[in-house]
Amino acid sequence: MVRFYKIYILLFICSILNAQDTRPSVAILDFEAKGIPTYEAETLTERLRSEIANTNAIRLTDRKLLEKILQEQGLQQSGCTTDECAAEVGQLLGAQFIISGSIGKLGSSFTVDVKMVSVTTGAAERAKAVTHKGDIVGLLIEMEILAWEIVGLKAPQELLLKRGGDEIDSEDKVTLAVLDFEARGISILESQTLTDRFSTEIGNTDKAILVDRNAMGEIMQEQGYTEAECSSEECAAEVGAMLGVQFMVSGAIGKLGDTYTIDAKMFSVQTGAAEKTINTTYSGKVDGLITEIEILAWEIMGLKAPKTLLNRRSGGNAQVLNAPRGKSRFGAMMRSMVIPGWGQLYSDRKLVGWTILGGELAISALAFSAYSSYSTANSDVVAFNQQYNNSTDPAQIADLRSKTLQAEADQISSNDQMTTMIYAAGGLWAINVVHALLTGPKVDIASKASFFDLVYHPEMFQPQLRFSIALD
Amino acid sequence: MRWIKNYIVIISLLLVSCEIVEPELKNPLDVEYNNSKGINPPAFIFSPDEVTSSSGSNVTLKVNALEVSNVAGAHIQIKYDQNKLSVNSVSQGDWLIGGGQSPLFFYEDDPLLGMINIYYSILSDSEYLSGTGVVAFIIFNISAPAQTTVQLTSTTKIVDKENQEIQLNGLGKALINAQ
Repeated sequence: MVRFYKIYILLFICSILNAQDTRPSVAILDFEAKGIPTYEAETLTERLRSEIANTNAIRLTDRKLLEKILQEQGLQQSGCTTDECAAEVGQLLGAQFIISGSIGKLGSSFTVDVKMVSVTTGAAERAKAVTHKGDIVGLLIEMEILAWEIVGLKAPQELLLKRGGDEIDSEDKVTLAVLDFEARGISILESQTLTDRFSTEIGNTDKAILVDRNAMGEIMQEQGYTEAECSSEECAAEVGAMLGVQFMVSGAIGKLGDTYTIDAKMFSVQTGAAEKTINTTYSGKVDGLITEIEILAWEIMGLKAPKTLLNRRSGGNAQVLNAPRGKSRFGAMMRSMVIPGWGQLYSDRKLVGWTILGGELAISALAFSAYSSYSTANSDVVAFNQQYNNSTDPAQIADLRSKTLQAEADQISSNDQMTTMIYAAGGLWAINVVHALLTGPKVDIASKASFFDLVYHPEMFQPQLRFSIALD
Repeated sequence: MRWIKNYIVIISLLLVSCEIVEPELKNPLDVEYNNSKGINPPAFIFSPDEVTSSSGSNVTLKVNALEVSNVAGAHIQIKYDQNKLSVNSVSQGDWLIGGGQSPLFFYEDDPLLGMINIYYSILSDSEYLSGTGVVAFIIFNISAPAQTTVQLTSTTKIVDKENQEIQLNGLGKALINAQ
């Protein structure tokens, strides 16, 4: 009797605890297999069940109980495909929602359709569909992600990264997370804005899979950090490891008078070693930092920033202190006078520059070769002529006369060749100097620019008629 | 701007520094050279054909046979300006004795006329002279500073073993510049 009471009390406590659990109860039916073996569909459904339990968003109805009730109703799990059937089974189970779905195969692609039906109303509360191309094993990750999404939650970053893992390998993408840049002399809001712009631009490089800022925030919150506190490499590496990323990027934006400095560092989460450190100094309005930090995003990924960005930088009023400056046509011309092609290289016309330099070297080599031949022939003329004059043997005299004349002919021919080459080199040199002068970099003087011009505004995505007044 | 000047100088030097050496093909024993002067073999010529020396000094002229064949005897007559030159000596050339022969060789110098006559004759029946070689060495003494010419006259003739005259196509001369 005492024992009966003990069990009764235990069940009573359990029922109270159960009554306090406000999470909706959900039953999951085995997914219908369309074009794949049933056991594979069951395995995948099982993966959904186990992952959905991890969400802690629902109370999952026992599978055995589900099977028992379906058996009593004379149904197979996969046979109960209609919403009505699902609602009926749910009612019998006392569940509030039933999750059902199907897994199909189309060629080399797999499709998964899943929906959550309200037992009370019989209506589909939420539906999700996903298509996976590749091996069926890849569906395991998809099912795990669907488990989160069907209950209205966002899948953890780790899962999303796992999903992108194959793409990472195939496209040489890296996974990385960006910590908010430390603000030194600027507001935190400005720093966050710039960090956001930096992250967006890293995404634009198409060389990295970026961890969502919110996901990172959650992880850090779990660890009891705020982003501002997590400025050390150790902390960043720890967070990176939890996020499952390969690299972390941290940095600082500082202000010194009217000059801004941006320092960014990308380091490996696995080794803790700095992969790339990059910095820039900028002088001008704080707005111009946006362009700078966007360029920095490309550079930290080891890429050259797009021309649009670079043009925006050079087109602005601000002056980048560490960027090459003071280039002029005269400078290009003078360089080309000293070394052919140098002026073109200086003007960033690499192909033309190297072509001219190569051409000049080739012509010089030919000229030198001709000079060498000339020199030999010249010596021969002198030597044979001397032997000819000293000789008293008529046969030898005839032979030496012939040799002397041949050497003289060679000498003249080589000399002509050399002269031609020298003139060619001189001509190319002159062309190179003129070319450097004409195509050299223009000095950006605002007063020389037109007052009105039609420009495309990259941020507003629309053309604008611009009116400018030169102040220089 | 100094380096620009240097640059231009270097380029200019490159353009003008390569001069063409013109050979002097004036060996008196060269057939082609003699052809250019209108002397064709067989001929007698002087070597050298031009000498520069000073007054009072001696100059040696070699009398050469040029591309002759089967010569058994010769009479060579040389005219010189007796007011400017005088004959010191006349000797037979190596060519005549080169084959181990001992040809008959003698000369006459007439300082009043300024004329030298050289005679030689091959005594052997078999070894006649052919080709090119020095027939005689003549040493002149320059007595006055002037330019003068020593010339082989048309009396010069050569004969074969049958004493038949072999036609000479050229007779050379030598120019002596006395300073």
